Amino acid sequence: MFDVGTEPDDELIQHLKECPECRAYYGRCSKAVNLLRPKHVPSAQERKKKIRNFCLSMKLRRAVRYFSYAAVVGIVCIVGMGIYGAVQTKAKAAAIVGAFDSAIEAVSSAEGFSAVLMVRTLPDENFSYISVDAPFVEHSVKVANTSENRVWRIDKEGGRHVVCDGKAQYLWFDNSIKAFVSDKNTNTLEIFYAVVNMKNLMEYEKAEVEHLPGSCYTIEKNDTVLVLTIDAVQEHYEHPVLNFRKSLGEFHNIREYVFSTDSGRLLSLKYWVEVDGSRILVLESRDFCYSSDLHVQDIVAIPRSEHIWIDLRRDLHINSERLMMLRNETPENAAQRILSAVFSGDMENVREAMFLYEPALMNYLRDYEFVRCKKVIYPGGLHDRAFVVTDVRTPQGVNTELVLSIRKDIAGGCWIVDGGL
Amino acid sequence: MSFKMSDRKKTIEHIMQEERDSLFRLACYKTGNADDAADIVQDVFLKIWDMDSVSVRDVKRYLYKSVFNACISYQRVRQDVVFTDFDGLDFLEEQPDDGFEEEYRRISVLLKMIPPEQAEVISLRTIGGKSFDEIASLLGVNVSTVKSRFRYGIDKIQKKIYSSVI
Repeated sequence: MFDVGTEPDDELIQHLKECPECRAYYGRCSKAVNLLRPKHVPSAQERKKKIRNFCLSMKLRRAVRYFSYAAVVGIVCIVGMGIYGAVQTKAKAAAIVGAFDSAIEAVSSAEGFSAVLMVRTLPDENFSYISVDAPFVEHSVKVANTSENRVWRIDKEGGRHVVCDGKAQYLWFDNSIKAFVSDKNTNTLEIFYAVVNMKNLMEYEKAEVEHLPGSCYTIEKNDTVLVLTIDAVQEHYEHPVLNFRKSLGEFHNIREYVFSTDSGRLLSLKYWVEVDGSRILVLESRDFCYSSDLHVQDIVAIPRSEHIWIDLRRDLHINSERLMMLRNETPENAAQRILSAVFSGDMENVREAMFLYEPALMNYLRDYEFVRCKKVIYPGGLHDRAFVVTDVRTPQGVNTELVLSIRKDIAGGCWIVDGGL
Repeated sequence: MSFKMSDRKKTIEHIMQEERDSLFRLACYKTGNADDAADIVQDVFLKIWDMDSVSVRDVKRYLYKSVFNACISYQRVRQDVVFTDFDGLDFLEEQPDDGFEEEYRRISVLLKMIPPEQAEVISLRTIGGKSFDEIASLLGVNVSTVKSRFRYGIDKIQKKIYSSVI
């Protein structure tokens, strides 16, 4: 509907005759489209001629340039400026690397830090889910370095919580009685791992300056802060936080870091991505605080008595034949089996894949229908995580895209659902 | 001495001439000013003409992306020309003597009600006159994504219009 050269078909026309509600809705949409369709375009004949003739003028301009003395002088000037520019660029690069070096030193020597991160995501989704269409969700981050190891905690507003006490990781959800214990090195945090390990993030940024040309860096400095802005459009970088855009084929991002000129500490960060010509803020830090007052007991506190804790470091009690079948599934087969079972309510067939979820939460997906898998994206190039892009049909009979996030690094090698539902 | 245009340049020139009207219309309704719209389009043409790295296949997409970006930069500078609200039923009714300024104001306000990516698709369809397939190709997304953005955008706009009327 409303496409070029399309008119409502007979079936739609008949339905509109019979259904007053749909007829009213269609009428309102038609009116909205009509209001957006301009009838008057300013007369700009002279200007259109200017646009039309520019190609000719470009040819003439090139002819003059090649044969003038001014061009010879210009070449000398350009070479000179190039040398000057190279010196300026090197000095600038050194200043940027220096800022990251100071930040690495500062975070390494700090006893801990805390911050609030506002991220465009959904409360129920996993930590790697960032969407330019989603609202901002608050994440509280606390990290402390003890004499033995590092402990940290991330609380996602309305959603999930993760704690690491240096020996194991603990994951629980606000709307589920189930909670999980896993190995301390499990990649539960996904992109937030880079924030918890701020030193790694700064080291990555420093390496990008040194080894990956193409980004545009600007520095603004005053007595108290140094603001570094990175405008990046490379295809071949693996930014630990913004890598999610790569899977969507979109690379243009802008990153802003603010450092203290006094201590070198990172004070704030902001990330934007550019989508369809618009710059959209997707992550912003607030209340960045380096403190030795963070209490380790508060950071590692977990609600033991409020949840049933499942230890993922042990097997999920699957018989060997089924385990073999599940381990050998391709991501496409797993996505098709899981979605078909969820939509039909066959929870027995997906209990391993859906163990992070409460079965009752899946009721709203009944009567959907799996249509097909379109493609598989492996974020970060690792094959134990996958985004399976599928088409599904809604109960209203409309095809829509659903991207299922699955992983096989925490459940004995079986694909489990990690997000997308 | 003559300078023969390469086939590549000829193709790019042809594409520019084909898309000139659509780009100019879009720039007009993003800037509200025909003079500035023409300058934006010309500047974009000059920039892309000089870019040897743009392949013929990507020229159209670069043209639209560049014009959109230039219009956004223009809007940031021209902060005095921002319509953020509309006043009642009169606004919704097209008048016979509505000129460019009235239409620009109405379209600007309506498109500001929705996310930028939805507004982009809708303006390419209703102002640029592009089909959904063409829009998908220009933006580098699936045609189903284009249709979704169009549908959700129109749905939001009609809701806002008619909820304010009630």
